[in-house]
Amino acid sequence: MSAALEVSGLRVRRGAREVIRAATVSVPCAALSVILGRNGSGKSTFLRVVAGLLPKEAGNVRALGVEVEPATFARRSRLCGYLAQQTSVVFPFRVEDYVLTGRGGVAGLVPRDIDRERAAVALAQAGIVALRDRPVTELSGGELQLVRIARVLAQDTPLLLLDEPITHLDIAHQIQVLSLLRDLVAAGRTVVTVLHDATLALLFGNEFLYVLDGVVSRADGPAAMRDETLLEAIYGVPLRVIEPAGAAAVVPRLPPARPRPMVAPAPDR
Amino acid sequence: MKSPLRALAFAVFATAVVGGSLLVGPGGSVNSAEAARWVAGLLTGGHGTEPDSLLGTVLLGIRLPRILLTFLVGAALAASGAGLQAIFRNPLVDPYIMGISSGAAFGAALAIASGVLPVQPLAFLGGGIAVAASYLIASHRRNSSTVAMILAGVVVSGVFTAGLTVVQFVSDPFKLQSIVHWTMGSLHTADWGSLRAVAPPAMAGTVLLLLWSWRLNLLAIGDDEAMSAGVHPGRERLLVLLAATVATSSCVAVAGVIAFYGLFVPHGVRWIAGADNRRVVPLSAIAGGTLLVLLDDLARSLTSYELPIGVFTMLLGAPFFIVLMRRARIGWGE
Repeated sequence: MSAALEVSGLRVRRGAREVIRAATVSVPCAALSVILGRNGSGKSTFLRVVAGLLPKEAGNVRALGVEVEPATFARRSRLCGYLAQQTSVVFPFRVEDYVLTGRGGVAGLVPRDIDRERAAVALAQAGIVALRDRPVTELSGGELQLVRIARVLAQDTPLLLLDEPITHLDIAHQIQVLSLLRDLVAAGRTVVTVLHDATLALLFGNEFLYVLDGVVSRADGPAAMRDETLLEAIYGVPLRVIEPAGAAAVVPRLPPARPRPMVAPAPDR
Repeated sequence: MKSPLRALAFAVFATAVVGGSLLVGPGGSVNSAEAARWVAGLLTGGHGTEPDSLLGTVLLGIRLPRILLTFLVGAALAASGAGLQAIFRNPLVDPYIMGISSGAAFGAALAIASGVLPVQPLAFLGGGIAVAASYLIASHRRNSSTVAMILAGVVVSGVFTAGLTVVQFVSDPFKLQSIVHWTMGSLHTADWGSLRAVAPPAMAGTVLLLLWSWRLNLLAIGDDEAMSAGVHPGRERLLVLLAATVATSSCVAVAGVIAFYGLFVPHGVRWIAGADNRRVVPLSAIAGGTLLVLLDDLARSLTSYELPIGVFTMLLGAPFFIVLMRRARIGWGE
């Protein structure tokens, strides 16, 4: 399997803080790779640098063999699509028009037939053809997320970089989005996504990266990621991996509940 | 209604209004029926249509350039408003709020007060400086938020308005009078000469906005989205900003400050035709031009003295906008 992403000696500084101290990892093609890590650990920064949206201090990033630099914008956008963590929708664009903007990098002043075609394919892939004429301002969070992913799909890139695509979604929409990603991978695309739900990550991911103390590492396959010690190190809390019926679930290891005091303690003076 | 049909309806209505406006004027001077006969004669190539007759002079020398200029000003302001709203991802933005109008007004007032400097270039310079100032103040922080952008625009606008007052304060009474008249809108001085001066920059800016209308959708969705698609949002935003500044400044130089016109019209259009800028920008231009011609007709014919167009649009626009705000789903984000 050839590498979709090759990162070596990457260091990223944001202001005074060195967010990524060391990252030398690679991600294989046609796999669903998940990035795990605590809030603020640098997952998003890593993804943005890999997408060429943030400058790096040192190191090398190659996406499908092509050097990624913020300067190589247009070329990079043909290789990888990027989904930001969050967005605010201001104008009530129709879903179809919203998705069509994903073609902005390759189309000129007006979308061509090929652009409309790609947008239509993206809508079909995301399973939201029925939403086509709805204003994006009136969608539910789950629907909007599918529309945003369709927008990135319309770019028609072999590599997709997604930052927390399922955060804020209910379990049904989470499964819908992750199933879509799995289908895309089955169809030959490479997906790299940040997820916060370790259980769903273990369920859907093929490959795992994790960010710990500014270092990005790759876990040695899905089995290694089920390791409680590793998960506890990543999240800094006691965790347990239980495996009912083959699927692994990551659950917190809570201290035994203390009996609640009958009377509220008097406030300190 | 299908969109080509709707566009046709818009165009037919616009043409009718422009044509009909030839027949409107302050009562007494020229009879509307007579004017209609004259126009009909001109169109059919009949007799009695000598351009140098009194009627011919009024219709072709005074009314036609004024109507065309008014249309151009309305179209340019509305298209600029639509463009600015998209690039700043904010439906509250218009050339006035961004400080362009105040900057251009200051520049033009300075030119009038000096008595020697040319009005048009100074208006553009003023508008350009104002918008550049807003932009720089807001983008001092690395990712300029739209809120910062508007705050900066409001502050810059305030500074230039104060500057305008200073210019008025130090000007002699005669110049003061012409500055005040001009600030309130000087469409009544329109002739072919002023149309020739305003048309190239106003049309260039408007045409660029029209060409960019689809790409405005991408800019309106967000910077991350634009960058993912391989588009430099900063560069394209600057281009649209430049187009809007050129168009607006040249309008201000001839029509004075028409506050909020660029805010009302795109909202009304979006309410009817949806948010897609491929429709919003051209329809804003057509509707903006048509509406301003209509308003100017009213301004010319309602009273024996002319109300300044800026005052008129504000008095009529504000209630309309309040109704729109309350009744319609305007695309404010949550």
